[in-house]
Amino acid sequence: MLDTGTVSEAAAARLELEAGPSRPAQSYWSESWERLRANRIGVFCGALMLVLAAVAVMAPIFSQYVTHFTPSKQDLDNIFLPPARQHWLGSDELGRDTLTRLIWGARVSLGVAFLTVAIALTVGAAVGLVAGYYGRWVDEALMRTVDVVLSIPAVFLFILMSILFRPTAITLSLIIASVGWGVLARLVRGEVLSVRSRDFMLATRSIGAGDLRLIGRHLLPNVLPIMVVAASLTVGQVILIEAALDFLGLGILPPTPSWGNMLTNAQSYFVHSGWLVIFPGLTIFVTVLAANLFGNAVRDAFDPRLR
Amino acid sequence: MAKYAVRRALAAIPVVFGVTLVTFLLIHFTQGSFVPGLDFNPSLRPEDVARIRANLGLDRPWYVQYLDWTGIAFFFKNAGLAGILGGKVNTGLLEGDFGRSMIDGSPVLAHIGERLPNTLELTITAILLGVVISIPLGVTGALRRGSKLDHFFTALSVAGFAVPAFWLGLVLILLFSVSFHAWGLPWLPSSGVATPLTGGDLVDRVVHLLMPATVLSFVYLSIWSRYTRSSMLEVLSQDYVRTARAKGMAERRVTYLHALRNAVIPLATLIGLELPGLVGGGLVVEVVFGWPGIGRLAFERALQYDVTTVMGITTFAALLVIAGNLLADVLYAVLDPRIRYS
Repeated sequence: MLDTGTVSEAAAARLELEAGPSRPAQSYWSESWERLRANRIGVFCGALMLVLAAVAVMAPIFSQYVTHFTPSKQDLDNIFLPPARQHWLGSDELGRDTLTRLIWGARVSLGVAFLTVAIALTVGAAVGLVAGYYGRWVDEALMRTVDVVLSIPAVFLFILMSILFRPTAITLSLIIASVGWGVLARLVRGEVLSVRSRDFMLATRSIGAGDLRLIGRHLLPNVLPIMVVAASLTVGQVILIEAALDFLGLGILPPTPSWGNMLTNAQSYFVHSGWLVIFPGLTIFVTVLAANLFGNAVRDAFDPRLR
Repeated sequence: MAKYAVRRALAAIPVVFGVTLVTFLLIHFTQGSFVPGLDFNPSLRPEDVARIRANLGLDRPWYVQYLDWTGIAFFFKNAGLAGILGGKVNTGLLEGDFGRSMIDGSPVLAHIGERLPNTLELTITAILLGVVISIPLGVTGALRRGSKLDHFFTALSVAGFAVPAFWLGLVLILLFSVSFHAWGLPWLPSSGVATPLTGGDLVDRVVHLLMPATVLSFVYLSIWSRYTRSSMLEVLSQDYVRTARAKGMAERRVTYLHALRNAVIPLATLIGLELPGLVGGGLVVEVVFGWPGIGRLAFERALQYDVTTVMGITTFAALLVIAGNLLADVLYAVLDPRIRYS
C-alpha cells in the first residue's frame, strides 16, 4: 500500500541535501537493514516468525518432551476434552492433542508458504528480467502469458489443479506458485524497464559486457530490493490460501495435520467443542498477522520507491 | 475514447484464446481421469474402453478436441470446412456452449445460470458494504491522521487482512447461530439463501445474507479503507486543494467536493479488479455458509471429479474477469481525464 507522507519525506530529503551529508555514505543494504532494525514492531514480528519456524522444524522434539503426544496418537477414551493440564489446547474427535497437531501443522503451513514464495519468486524474477531486458516480442509473449495466468480466477485454477494432481506439500506449493509468479513477473519487469534505461547499463554494455552478465550482475542487484519486499509481503497471503485449500479438502489431506484441515473436521463438532475451531484459526491469524507486519516493515525499510 | 475501448477489446482476444488453451491443456494432461476410473474398470474390455472414448470423442488428437470444445470446429463446419477436422463436431464456447457435465450430461451453462444469481447477490452485497463502509473509514483516517481513531482503523484493517475468511465465518456461526440460539437470543441462520419451504420473503433473505456478506466484505474493507486513506492524504496535499482553501471555500466543501472525488478514482480501479471476485472470490465463504453459489458448485463438482463442469465454470469465470478488467480500464480512463493510454 502506498503510504503517507511522501511530501514530508521529500521535504526532509531536501533539507538534508541543503545541509550537506551529515554522515558517511552507507551501502544500500546496510542502511536498509538498520532501518529495519529500528522498527520495533517489525523486529518483534520477524522474531515471532523465526520462533514459529524453529518450532515447526523441531516439532518431533516438542511432541516428545513438551506435549508428550504424537500428532496422530488416538485416545478414544479422551475425546473432546476441553483445554486442561493434560491437553493444553484440548483434544479432538479422536482424542488427539490439539497443541501437538498445531505444532506439526506449522511444518505444512510454513513449509508450503516458504516453498511457494521461493518458487514464485524464482520463476517470476526470471520471467520479469528476461521480458524487461529483451523487450520487443519476447516481452510481448511473456507478458501476454502472464495476462492469461492472472485472468483465470485463482480459486478455480486451484480447484482444477488439485483434482488433477494429488496434492502433497510440494505439488501444493507448485499449484499456488503457478498463479503467484505472474504478479511478481509484472513487478520485476516494471522495475527492469526503469533500470535498463539508465546510463550505467549503456556504459557496461559499451565496454563489452554480454547479456547474461548485464542481467545477472547489473540488473538483478537492482531489482533485488523490490523482490525482497514482494516476497515478504506474499508470505502471509500464501499461508491464508494454503489454509483455505486445506480447509476445503483440496490441499494437504488428513491424517497429516495442517492448520487448514484441522478446521475441516472441527466444523462438524464446534457446537459442543468450540476450541477445536478457535485455536487453529487463532494460530493462522497470528502467524499471518506477524508475516504481514514483518512484510510491511521490510517494505518500509527496503523499498527503493519509498525513498 | 471509443477508439481506446476498441483497442483494449482487441488486445483481450489473445488472452481469451490463451485462457481457453491453458484450461484445456491442464485437463488434457490427465486423459484417463476424464472419465473417472474408466481405464481401471476391470469389468470393461479394452475394446469397450476404446469405444467409450471414441464415443466421447477422446480418441481425437488434442488440437481437434480443443477446436471442438471452443466451437471453432463448429464454426468451420458451418463454413463448409468440416472435412479437415473429421468426426463429429459439436457446438462450443463460440456458440455459447460451455460443455456438458461428466456425471449427468447436463449443460454446464444451465448450472451456471441457476447458481450465478445467488453468487451475485452475495458478492455484490459484500462489495457495496465494503465501499459504503471503507470510504468513510478511509476519509476519517486521513482527515484525523495520527489520531487514536486513525490508529484504531489501521489496526482493524491490518487484522482484517490477516484473518482467514473461512475461520471468521465459522466463528460468527459459532457466536450468532449456535451460542445465541443456546442463550435464547434471536439467532442468525447459518446456511442457505432462505429458509426452505416457509421462507423466501425479503426479510428472510436478508437475514440469511447478513453473515456471509459481512465475512466477504471484511477483506474488501481492510484493503479499500487503506487505499482511500492514502489516496485522500495524497490528494489533500495537492495544489488545487490549497487553491480551493485559499479562495475561502468551506473545509467541508473542499474535503467532500474537491478532494474526495479525486481520491476515489484509484478505488474505482481496485473495485474493478474485484470483478473476478464476483464469481470466484466468495467460494470459501459459500462453502462455509452453504450458499448455493457458483463457487460452491465448482467445489462440489470438483470433489466428484466432474472435470468438464469445473472446466466450463473456470472458463466462464475467466471470461468474466477479462471483461471486468476491460471495463475497469475504460472506466478509469473515463473517470480520470489525465489518463490516456497510448
